[in-house]
Amino acid sequence: MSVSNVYKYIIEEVIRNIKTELKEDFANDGLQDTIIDEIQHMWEARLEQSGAIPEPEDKTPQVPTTGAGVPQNKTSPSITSQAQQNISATESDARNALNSLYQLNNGTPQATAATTTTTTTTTTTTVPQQIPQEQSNGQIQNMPSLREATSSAPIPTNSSSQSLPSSLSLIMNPIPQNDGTIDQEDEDLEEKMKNKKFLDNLIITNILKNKFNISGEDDIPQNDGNDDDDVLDDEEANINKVEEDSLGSDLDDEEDDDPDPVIEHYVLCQYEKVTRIKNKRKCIFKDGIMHLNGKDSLFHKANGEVVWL
Amino acid sequence: MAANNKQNYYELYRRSSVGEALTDTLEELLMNQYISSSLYQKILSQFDKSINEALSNTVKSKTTFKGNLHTYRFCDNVWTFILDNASFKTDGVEVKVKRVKIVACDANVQDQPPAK
Repeated sequence: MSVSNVYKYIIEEVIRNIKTELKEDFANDGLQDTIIDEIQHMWEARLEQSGAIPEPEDKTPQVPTTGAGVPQNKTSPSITSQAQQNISATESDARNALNSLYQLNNGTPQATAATTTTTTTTTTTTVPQQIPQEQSNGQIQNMPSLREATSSAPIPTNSSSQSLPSSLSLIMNPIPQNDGTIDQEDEDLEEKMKNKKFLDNLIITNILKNKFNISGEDDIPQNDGNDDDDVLDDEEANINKVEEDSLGSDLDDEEDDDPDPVIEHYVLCQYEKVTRIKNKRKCIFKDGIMHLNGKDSLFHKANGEVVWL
Repeated sequence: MAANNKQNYYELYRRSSVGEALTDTLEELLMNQYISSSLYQKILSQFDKSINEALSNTVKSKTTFKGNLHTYRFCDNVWTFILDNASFKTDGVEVKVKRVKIVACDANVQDQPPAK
């Protein structure tokens, strides 16, 4: 049996057994067959993603068969796509909000009559000159319509069968609450104006905090929106750095007896006999899974001789 | 040894790619409370059983290997080897790797009831 056949066999065996033997558990948990199918989907998808299955010698790949064989449950594709939509919507929303915040910062406080604006903060002395009034207006007006567009967005054209394996994970990922901010369309802007000062200060302090990161090219934070990501990235980088630093205590020192924390090639098996003659060890293994060069292979028996130098 | 599924199977293979694909999936479901932790455990036990049986019943291939022993350890009846410049030969196909870790549990105790 080829590796993928064995894996398929294992998956089906497990799923079958869950469905029969553990039926009461699922009933107690209030679960239906769909969740079991979902487990199978996710399992297979992840296995596929790992790329560990060597090219099949004789038969069809794993996932398409099962994808067709298992009836897709009715709710999850649409939920998926919606979730997907929502994720991207919230992302772009956040970005837009941030952008328009910058714009508001530069555009509105100085009365709409002015075509060019001077800045309200100490840090941004020169930048806003280039920002035409229309642009900031456009941004502001953009927001509600954008919101409408995203909140009432039709279910996208995503082919659901492809997105299905990851569907549950998408649903289950802690997706930001979408019924909170997005729904309110009119008050939103006002509220934002109200909170503007506060948020401005937050952003400014953050920018100041990260100043050294962006000061390479420019002392002035980019206010036209293009560089937003960099600020965020820098923040993230900082967080990571801090985490790394905090882990760098003596207690975390790498142990000598496990020289490779990440060993990409491994063999999991059972030994029948391990003997030693001088500096040689003879091993008799069985029932092994080998993961070498990114590919899995299996053995029923393995004999080996290793030399201790 | 009452019920068959009370039998102990090695959890070793959970760390394989097929096992990790499952544990990741279940962990995600558990974290989001789609399944209970007892069910999580039961599914993984079922996996242990299925993969142990599948490996001993459906796999026929034989492998030979050699390499330089970098590290060995025998602890709690588990052998761990780290080999350098190892080569594995299965069905005439040889695969060489610079470093490989072998974890091997005792094949002779598994089918017996747990000692204590």
